Amino acid sequence: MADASPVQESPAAWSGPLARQAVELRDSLAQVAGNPAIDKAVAGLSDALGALRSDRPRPVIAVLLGGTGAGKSMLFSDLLEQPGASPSSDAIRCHTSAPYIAVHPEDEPFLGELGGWKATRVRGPSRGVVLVDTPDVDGILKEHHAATRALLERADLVVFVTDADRRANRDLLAELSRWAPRHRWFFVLNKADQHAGRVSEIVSDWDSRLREAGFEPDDRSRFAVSSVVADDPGLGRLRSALLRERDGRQVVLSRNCAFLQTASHALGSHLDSALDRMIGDLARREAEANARLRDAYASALREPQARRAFLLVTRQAAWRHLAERAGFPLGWAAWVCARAQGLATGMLLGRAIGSGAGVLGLGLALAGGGLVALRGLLPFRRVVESLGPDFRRLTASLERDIRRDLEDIGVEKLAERPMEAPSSPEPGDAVGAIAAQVDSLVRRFWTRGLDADLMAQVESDVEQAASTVARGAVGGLAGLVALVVGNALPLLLGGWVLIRLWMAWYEANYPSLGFYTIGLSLLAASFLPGLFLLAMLLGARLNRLDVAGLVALAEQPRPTDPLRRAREGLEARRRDARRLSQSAVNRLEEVRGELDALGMGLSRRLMPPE
Amino acid sequence: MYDVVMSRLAEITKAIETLRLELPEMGDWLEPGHRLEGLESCHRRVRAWSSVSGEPPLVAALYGPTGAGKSTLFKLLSGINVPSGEQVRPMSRSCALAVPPAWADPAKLAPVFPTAELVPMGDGAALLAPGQPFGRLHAAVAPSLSALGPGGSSLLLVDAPDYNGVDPGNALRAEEILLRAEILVFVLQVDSYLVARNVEELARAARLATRLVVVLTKARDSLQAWMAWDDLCRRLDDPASLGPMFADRRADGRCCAEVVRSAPVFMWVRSERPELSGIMAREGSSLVDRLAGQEARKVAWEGVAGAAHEAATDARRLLAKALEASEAAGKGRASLVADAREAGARVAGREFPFGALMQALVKEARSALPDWWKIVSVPVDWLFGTVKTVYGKASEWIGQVKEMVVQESAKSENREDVERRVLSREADALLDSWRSRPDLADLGLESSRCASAREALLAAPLPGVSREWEATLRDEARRWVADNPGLAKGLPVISDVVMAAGFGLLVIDLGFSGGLFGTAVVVGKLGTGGVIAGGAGALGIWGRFLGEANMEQMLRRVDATWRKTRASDLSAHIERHLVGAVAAPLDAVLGRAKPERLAAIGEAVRVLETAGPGGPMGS
Repeated sequence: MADASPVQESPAAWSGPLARQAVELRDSLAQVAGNPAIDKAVAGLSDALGALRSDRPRPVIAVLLGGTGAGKSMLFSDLLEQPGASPSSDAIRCHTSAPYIAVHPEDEPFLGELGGWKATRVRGPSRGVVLVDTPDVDGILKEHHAATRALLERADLVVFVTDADRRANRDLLAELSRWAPRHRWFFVLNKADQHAGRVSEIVSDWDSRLREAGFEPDDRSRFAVSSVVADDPGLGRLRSALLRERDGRQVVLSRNCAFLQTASHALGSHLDSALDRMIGDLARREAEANARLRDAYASALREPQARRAFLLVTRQAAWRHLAERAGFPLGWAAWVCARAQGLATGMLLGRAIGSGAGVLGLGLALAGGGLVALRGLLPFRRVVESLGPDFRRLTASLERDIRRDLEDIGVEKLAERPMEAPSSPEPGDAVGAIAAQVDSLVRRFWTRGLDADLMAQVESDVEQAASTVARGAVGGLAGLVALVVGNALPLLLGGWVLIRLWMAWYEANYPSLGFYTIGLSLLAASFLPGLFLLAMLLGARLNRLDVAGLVALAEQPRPTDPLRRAREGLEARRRDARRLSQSAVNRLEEVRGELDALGMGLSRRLMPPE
Repeated sequence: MYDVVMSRLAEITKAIETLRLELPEMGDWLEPGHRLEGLESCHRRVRAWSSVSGEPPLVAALYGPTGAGKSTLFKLLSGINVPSGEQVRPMSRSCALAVPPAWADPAKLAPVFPTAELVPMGDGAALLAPGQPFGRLHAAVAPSLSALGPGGSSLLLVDAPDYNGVDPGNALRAEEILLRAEILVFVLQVDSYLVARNVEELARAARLATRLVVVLTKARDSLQAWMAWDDLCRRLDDPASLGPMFADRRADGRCCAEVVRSAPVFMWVRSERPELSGIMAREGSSLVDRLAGQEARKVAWEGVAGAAHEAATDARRLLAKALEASEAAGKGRASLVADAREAGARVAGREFPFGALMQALVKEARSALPDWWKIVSVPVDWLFGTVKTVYGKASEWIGQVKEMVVQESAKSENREDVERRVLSREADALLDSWRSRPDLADLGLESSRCASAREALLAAPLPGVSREWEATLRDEARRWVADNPGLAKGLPVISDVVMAAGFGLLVIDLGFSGGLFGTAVVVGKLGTGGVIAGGAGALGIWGRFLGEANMEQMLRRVDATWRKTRASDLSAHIERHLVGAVAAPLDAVLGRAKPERLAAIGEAVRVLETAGPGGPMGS
């Protein structure tokens, strides 16, 4: 027994997360511009989400849909057993111009949006279900079509009405296909009396039309009726199936079903194919651009001046890598060698700020800092400049070509660089803050006119080359000898000095200042052979470095990053679409089963793309 | 009289052939989904009539929506058993043709349907096979046609498939018949008279059919049928209803609404066993009389004239579109050329071959030096050259020891390199601008096309420096040397010394990363002076020198000449290679809308428009 009011059951637990996924996916797909399949998917997801919009509790809405002359109004009156409830004429067509709504008095307060419609109300026989007679969808009056479609947007159940003559009418079947994914259906072949004796063949032929449209009709969902036959059994069955008392749970299930069906339809294989095509297109363009850039880069690096500039900068960077590989204490000396200038600058800056050493100190600190900054940047700039005007023109052209590629495919937004959180020095680190500011200013000034991605690419290649060279320098027998000699000498000398010092202190025979001076000098000098050997090995490795070969090792030239970002963005969307589609399909079977058991008509099976 | 008719027919045939030859070239300008119906209809009719001697045939077609009863009517009229039961819909997927015995010969029949594939009907099941070619006609001999009336012996009856059934090919098959029929029998269920698709087809039939007949089927009774018909006719005159759809005028001067209103209309009550006798006329002759009682030549001529009028209307419309498209393409191309000119001027404005000017001045000054001066200047040149070489080598050795490779400046760009670089930027800017313009959307400037066009421009050899400018340069140099003899004497020596000193300063400067002169170069490049050419740092010094050496006016004149001549050369270069590469679609439009073609079409239209329905057969 239905409740006095159609109680709204709370949405299923799964519908919220799925709806959120649908919203996120829709918004992310909307960032892709101008692709019809994606636009269709976005519209479909919006429609699907529209099905979930919450209403106040209301009855099930069943709408009659059919062409002019199909007999909808007569059927409406017959189902209600109220002759003339929706007046009709068999002579003058397009007779129904406004909807007729049959509603039970107890459901009146719960009509929701439907209550505001300009429609004629008649009394409905059953609680929990509202029956609506609509104008035609194929007549000459466009306003009729609009009114009917607006009602169909709100329907839970659609009763498709046709007759034997019109059962193969393409325009009406197209209207059916348009609404099929979003509703539950009953099918009515009207005026069956006009073909007495051939009804079963006609129904069988009609079933084939419905199967082409994606349905599996059976006696519970498809009816052959005749208004002029008294106590027509088909009409009786239809009345029982359609106008039984219903509760709010069916409304919720119906909405969930509409959401799942529409979402599945929107995320069908047409979307997958479109995304596959775009991803393939982007991958191909990315590969072409990478190849073009690598070839030009390798070719430019083979030029003597470019190679020399590259090696100069690599040598400087290799000393930093050597510091990590040279062991102790030789690594410490290499570290000092690589960073001496930077340390001096830091010391000067610290003095200037901490102890107020005056203008001279500040001047020295700034000059030193400027040199550090220039040494850090200018070498890379020189490498980029040494690649030659042709190469720089090619990278500028490539950047434009990539931008156009992205515009053509409609994925410019996906290619945008993600916002990076600015790195800030720790609070209280005044020296770091000033150094960062100086570095930023100088960097901006000295990199003007050059492609930032290219500079970053060169920097990355230099670091890779430096690492390779440093590794090679200390590997092998010669490297081992250099490390042994380079570390042993300072250790031995340092150890001897410490032993002498300890013995002196032990005997309270404190050495003079000269001892310390000479000791430190000898210690410093003991690093020289090791540093000299490392320099020679480094030089030898650099001479053998295959610069052009390094280019081939780079995974992805930076200037083509926009294509990669766009491709990855589309791949992520494709993953999300597949995941959501699978979840929707899985849930759909469950919900359909429940609705089938409740006699809520028929759903369309999932169809391949048109 | 008949000779006059055939002579006019020949003129019309020739005009139609001209249009069939020329109009397809302009097919892109047809509205989507639109066909040149009048042209096709006229072509079929004139071919059919031209191929026979004596009485032309009359093609009567049964045309209508699914389930109207066309096949049932065909069976009753022709006596040929075609599928017309109710079990399966659609009932046919091809056209059935009933011919009287006099037309049984396929060779005689073929020209009547010039675009059709005629096959013998066999059993009716062949009509149901899916996927048949659009032009296929299943023909069978129907002796009963001859018995229908005096015109029956030349009556060819066609059962067209429905135009709104689930088989989309049926609509095209039906259309093929619509374009051929002289008498169109529009068969329509009475309760479908206001279905939008049926009304559209009725309007089309009224426009194209020589004679229109309407049969309202499956009526409950005559009252229902005539009420429906009266309602339809009332709406034909209502501008808020069907009026606009039926407002077109035909060759005979009548509008389509009038054609429908005056068409013979019949009604047929629904029955388990339909018979021809059940078809009732509202007034006038019976349906059979309407079909088999016509004067063939008169009807055929009306058909030709009407179709000729439609063909002329189609051609005029297409002609107008062609002119519009041609004008737009012309404007588009002109705007591309104008953009190319502006780009050429911009590129020319960014460069100035200062080095060439100085070389010309030095050369002229040198040639003006007295011989004794050369005795002094040559050893000085040699001395500074040697210093330059020695110092350079020493720096290289020192740098290697200090692990600092000599910092060579980047490979400097000559004027051509700079020009190519700037051209590349301009080309990309032009291409991006053209891509964004809606009026140039037809160029189809996708990324790969843009890249190819730009590379085509850059691959082409740059135009050489014009002789006019070289002559101006020489004249100005001579004038300056003559006006400034003192400076002219010192110029060659100064140039050698300063170049050497400038280079020496650069070498000294290498210890400082970039340094003063490098900074000057950077500032110079960032500024808008546009001073370029080989030899970086010394140019800063030269800049000051120029101002103090009375060269300002000369520079202005040389610069003006340079800009003018170089701009013209570069504009032509960009137009030839870049615009030429992208403007192909516009050139294609201009090619298709050639004046000669448009004139031929215009002449053919004039001939067709004079083929009035009255014509030689009017009386």
